[in-house]
Amino acid sequence: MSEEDFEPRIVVFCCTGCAYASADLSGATRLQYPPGVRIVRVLCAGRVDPYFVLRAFERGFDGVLIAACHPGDCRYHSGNEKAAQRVQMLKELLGAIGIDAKRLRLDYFASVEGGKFAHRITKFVNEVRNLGRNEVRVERPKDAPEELESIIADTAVYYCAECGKCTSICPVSEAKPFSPRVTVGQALFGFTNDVEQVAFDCLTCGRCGDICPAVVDFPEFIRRVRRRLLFESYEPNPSHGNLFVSSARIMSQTEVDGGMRRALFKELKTKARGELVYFTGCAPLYQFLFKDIGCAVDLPFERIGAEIASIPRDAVFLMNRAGVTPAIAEREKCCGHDLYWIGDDETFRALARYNATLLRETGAKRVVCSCPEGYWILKQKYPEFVEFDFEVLHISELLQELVERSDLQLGSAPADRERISVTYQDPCRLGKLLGVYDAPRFLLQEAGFTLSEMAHAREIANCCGGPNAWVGCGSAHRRMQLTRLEEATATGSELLVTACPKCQAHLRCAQLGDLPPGRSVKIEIKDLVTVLADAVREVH
Amino acid sequence: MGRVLVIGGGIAGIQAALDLGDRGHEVYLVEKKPSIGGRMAQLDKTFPTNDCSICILAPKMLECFGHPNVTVITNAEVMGLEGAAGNFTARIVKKPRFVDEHKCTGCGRCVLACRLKARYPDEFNMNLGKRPAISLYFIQAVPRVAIIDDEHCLMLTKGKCGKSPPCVEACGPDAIDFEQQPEELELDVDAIIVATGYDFAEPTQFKEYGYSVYPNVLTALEFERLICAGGPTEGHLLRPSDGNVPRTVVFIQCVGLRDRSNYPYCCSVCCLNATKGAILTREHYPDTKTYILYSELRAVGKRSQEYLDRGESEYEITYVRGRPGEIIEDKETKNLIIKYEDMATGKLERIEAELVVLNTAPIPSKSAKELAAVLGIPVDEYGFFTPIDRLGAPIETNKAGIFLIGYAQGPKDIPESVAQASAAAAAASEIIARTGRDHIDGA
Repeated sequence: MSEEDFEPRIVVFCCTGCAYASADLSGATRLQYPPGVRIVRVLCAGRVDPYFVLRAFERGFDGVLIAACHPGDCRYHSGNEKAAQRVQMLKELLGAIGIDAKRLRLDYFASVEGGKFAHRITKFVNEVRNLGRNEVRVERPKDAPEELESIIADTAVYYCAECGKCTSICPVSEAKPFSPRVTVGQALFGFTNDVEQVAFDCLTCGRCGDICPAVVDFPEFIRRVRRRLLFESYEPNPSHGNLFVSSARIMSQTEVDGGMRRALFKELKTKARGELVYFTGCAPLYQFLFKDIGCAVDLPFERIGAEIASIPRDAVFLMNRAGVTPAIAEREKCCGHDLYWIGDDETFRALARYNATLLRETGAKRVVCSCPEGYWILKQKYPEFVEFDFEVLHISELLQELVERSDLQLGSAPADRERISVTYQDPCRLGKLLGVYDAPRFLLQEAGFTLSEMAHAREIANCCGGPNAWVGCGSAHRRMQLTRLEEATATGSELLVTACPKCQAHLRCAQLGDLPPGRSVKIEIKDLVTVLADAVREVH
Repeated sequence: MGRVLVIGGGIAGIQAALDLGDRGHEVYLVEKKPSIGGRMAQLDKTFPTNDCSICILAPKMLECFGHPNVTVITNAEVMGLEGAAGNFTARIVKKPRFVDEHKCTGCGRCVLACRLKARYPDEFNMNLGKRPAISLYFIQAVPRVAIIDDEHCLMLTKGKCGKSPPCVEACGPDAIDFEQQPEELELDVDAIIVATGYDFAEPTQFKEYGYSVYPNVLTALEFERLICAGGPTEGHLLRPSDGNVPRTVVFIQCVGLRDRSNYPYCCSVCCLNATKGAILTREHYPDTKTYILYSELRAVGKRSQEYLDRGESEYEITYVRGRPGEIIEDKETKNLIIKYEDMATGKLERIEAELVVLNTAPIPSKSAKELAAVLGIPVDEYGFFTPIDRLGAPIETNKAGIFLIGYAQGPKDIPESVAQASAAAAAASEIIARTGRDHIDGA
């Protein structure tokens, strides 16, 4: 089929009350519209979760149309308005991940508008035809699924001495029936189904692997089991509808432009090439994603109030203050952290290869990350998958270096400034997996904060309870999050500082809603660089 | 008759020296510490009989020291070795004690006189007690000679101690000598027996158990010193945070042991050692509850399983299979909350303990690697000396005339070490007979 006569494949989400009726009417009156259109009936346009749309593009559909009732006509009061807000957000997101925003459209139909339906659909299809094909295709693993035996052998599961040490500290075990030891035991007995059932319960926080006397690499074991499941196209019950994984998969196959990052840093000093590169990560995407996170409980992100998109800005601000002008690889893509953890090695490798090449072209020698997940992935996993020979630093390590060289002044606060007491949440990737415990604490103390530690800190720090790779957020996660928040409030601190956007988002999320009586989880939560940048701004 | 050098004055070294001395050979027993006695001297009781450890050891120490054929050289290390079986020359460096061994009577007046009273951690008591700058290594030290701590003594660090050092004034036989210098000895020997014993893995590296962070987490040897009548609390088990007798004591087994990232071997003694500790606790304080959290109970050897069974039935020790993953301290009471999975039920459990005892990994003596290089014998991946053939020649090394005994060559208990010591004494006699040197007539 030549390009001219390619037939776009379009998904149309029709609300039952109006748009579906209009589609029905157009059919009943035998009106014609192009054959590549697939209609999906939904109860209300407000039901169209952002991930429905992303999933369609991820699967190679050329366009998505959301067909809603006319404004004011929604039988659920405001579903169509909600859809409109989402489409706005999604258009920005699609632009940022390299899909032309024109491929998504919202249109309004009344149940009597059969002719209008056929007409508008045809018009949209023709516009999409002019845009050309959506080249994104989900790449499924091509080789055969790995045998459980070989996973067992590679991750030292055979050595398990059944001592129960892992389960005794596993944050998940405390919140729901789950045990690394039992899972490992089931694997050894060959109970593949049992293992696969719990594969997405593990948070891969690494606490068990850290203390396991048998040195069983449980997180890696879990990752490889997840990869097996990918072969069967099994996607776990994803939180936020796999929005993040879909975005990353789409991004791995599209051309992204640097507009988003250019806009983000426009008032700060950055350059296009240089030896010190700041790897922004996906934080700026959050400004679109979290306007409406579209998960089951549908929390508008403003209510959570997480300050995530500002983290890269604050990081660059601090570097600028120290006289450092970092280079920004504007067209960088997702680091692939979440894909790595669901076992999607193919997409992960593609992203790694792209980012490695891009960093090389930027002239990088040192790469600085502010997100612990990106930091861990770049530092530990990229060199395993692609040629990657840069020195990778966490922003806290760089800032400590700058403070120690007296290039950056965090302290010397005005005398009347109260010393705020803070507590620090060690992100699992930064702490347990990479051993960066001291730099963030050094910086907080340098900035004049009084640090008081939670009962579980540093090596034994507990997980924020954030669902790893955004899979399966549920009651157990909330339980873990509440426990962690209680530990933080028990320190008597006014502020909980973390260095990971995901810790921040998940802990803030747990503070919303009705709380069990007598539980104290009220504490302000901020990112390390935000806190430091605020302190610097306050001083100067 | 021949000459033998025994390196290490613990129970194994002492036994080897006595056997050889009794056989008429001339023995040099070189000990790094200021007194012979080794680890056994630090134990309160021995399993599985609960015999008083020092009561068995002290007579042997004295016998060894007073033996006409044995020369005990303490505070000394082997720094060089040349030659071969039947004709070794060992270079020994004896560090200064600043007290004349021949004059000092061990009366202890200097210890009472020192102006730096009870200031410095007492190594023998696992740093739980305090001592002045001049001290006896421990009360039954052999030789019973005081030693001056050159890091703290004012005369040795500043050259001045008031108008005149009170220890000098107190000392009747005028034994104190601030001018003492390191002494080098060259010993011609026919055979060498290595009995350097063990140290313990640094307990702070096992962060999950909070040693040194939580005051009420002790190591097994610290516990041993507390429960020992000769220890810093005179046998009262007083927990460090508040000096109270704990009502719950939890023993955690295999700390760092059977652990592929630390010490993968089984220490072979801590199951019985913990049982002993729990029994002693119950004997001292019948109302105190004791728990032993183990990975697997390994009670090998004569009367060992019976000992465990008695611990459970007679002394009501609770044995739980499950390695705890972490200990959290209650900030107010300083009690310790231990989290573990009870492997019998698969349930997550917590115990609130008032005292926790860690059975940390015994590891080869810290200087074993250097000594191995000096002697030219191999060590294994953990640093234990390696015998030439574990089955056929368990105490022989690749270098004829050098023998390995006790914990220095791998995990074992006291009876095994003693048996090996006697075996090595016999093997050394054989070397002497074969090489035919006769130091009494000849040299």
